[in-house]
Amino acid sequence: MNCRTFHGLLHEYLDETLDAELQGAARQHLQQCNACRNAFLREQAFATSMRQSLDRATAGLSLRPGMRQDVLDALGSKRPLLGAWRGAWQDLIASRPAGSVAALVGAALVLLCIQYYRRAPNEAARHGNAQTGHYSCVINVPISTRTHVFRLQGNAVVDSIADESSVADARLSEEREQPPPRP
Amino acid sequence: MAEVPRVSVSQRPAPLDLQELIDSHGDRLLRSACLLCGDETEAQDLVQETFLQALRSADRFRGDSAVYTWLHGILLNLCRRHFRKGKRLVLAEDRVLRESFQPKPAEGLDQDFYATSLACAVQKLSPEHREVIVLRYYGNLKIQEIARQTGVSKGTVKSRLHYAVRCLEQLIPAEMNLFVS
Repeated sequence: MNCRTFHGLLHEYLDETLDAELQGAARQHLQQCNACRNAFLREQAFATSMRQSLDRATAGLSLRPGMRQDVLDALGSKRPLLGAWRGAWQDLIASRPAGSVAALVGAALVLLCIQYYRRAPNEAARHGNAQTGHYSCVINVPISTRTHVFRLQGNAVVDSIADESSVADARLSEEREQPPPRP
Repeated sequence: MAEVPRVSVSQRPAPLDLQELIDSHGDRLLRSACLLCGDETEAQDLVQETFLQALRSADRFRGDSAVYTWLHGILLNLCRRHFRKGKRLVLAEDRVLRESFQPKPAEGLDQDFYATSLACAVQKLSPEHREVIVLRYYGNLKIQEIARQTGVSKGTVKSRLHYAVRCLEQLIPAEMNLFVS
């Protein structure tokens, strides 16, 4: 183990939560490396000082005497269900903002798809419905345009030197009323 | 002396007893809550709500962590919700904080001053940094327990811890010698 790895694992080494092999390697490194041993001792001393100081700062605080009864009273009173649900949603959105946005976008897409597939049969009925006597016809016609380039000599056209063609799509629609079927 | 009625909630590892929870963990939770939110009155309310939620969700406690760790997890979630609701103190007002952190008057004045300064400095950290400092150095939780409670990776916990300590270094008096290299 090198110093960089040891520094990365210092807290877990102090917690003794490394697996046996890593813990052993870290212990061995500590015996060989003065700098890491100093860092380890410094962290230990810092943790102890912090704990003592924070203990001292909060030593005057204690629970109010009626806490037990307050908890029991609150336990007896039912919490409004709506408030609990609202709190749960707020927590969820605050803790997973990206996930919430993704869920909202997904829900919006699903709604759009549902809306689209609900409108599709109506569109089909509008374009062609034998029962109403209407039919429609859509024809896609590619239009090809040929361009001739002529060469002029003086005022006279000598020849066509090149031609180009371009294709454009056109869409023709027709809708007409069918004659009523014969009885 | 009249016997105090006990309220027990059945739970797999051992039944939870409210009085026992309050006696064993109440003060420590309160102090941790006070370090997290910076106000004693609000800390009292947060601890009361912690016990309430603990009793309501006692069947979800599987016993794979210490009771204190589980309770502290509930408290931390409540503190986070509390901050989100914007009920936080204006932490620039040291006076309010110093009133909340009153060390024992009989002990050394210098150490009291340093301890109170440290508690006030902790309040000036960002909520994420404050959480890891309180959990690590006051709650004495392991890195993996902090990661579980805060919902981030162990690497993130260590990174936050590193930056939080660096921030504290700027905030607390140099005479405390906390950061002697």
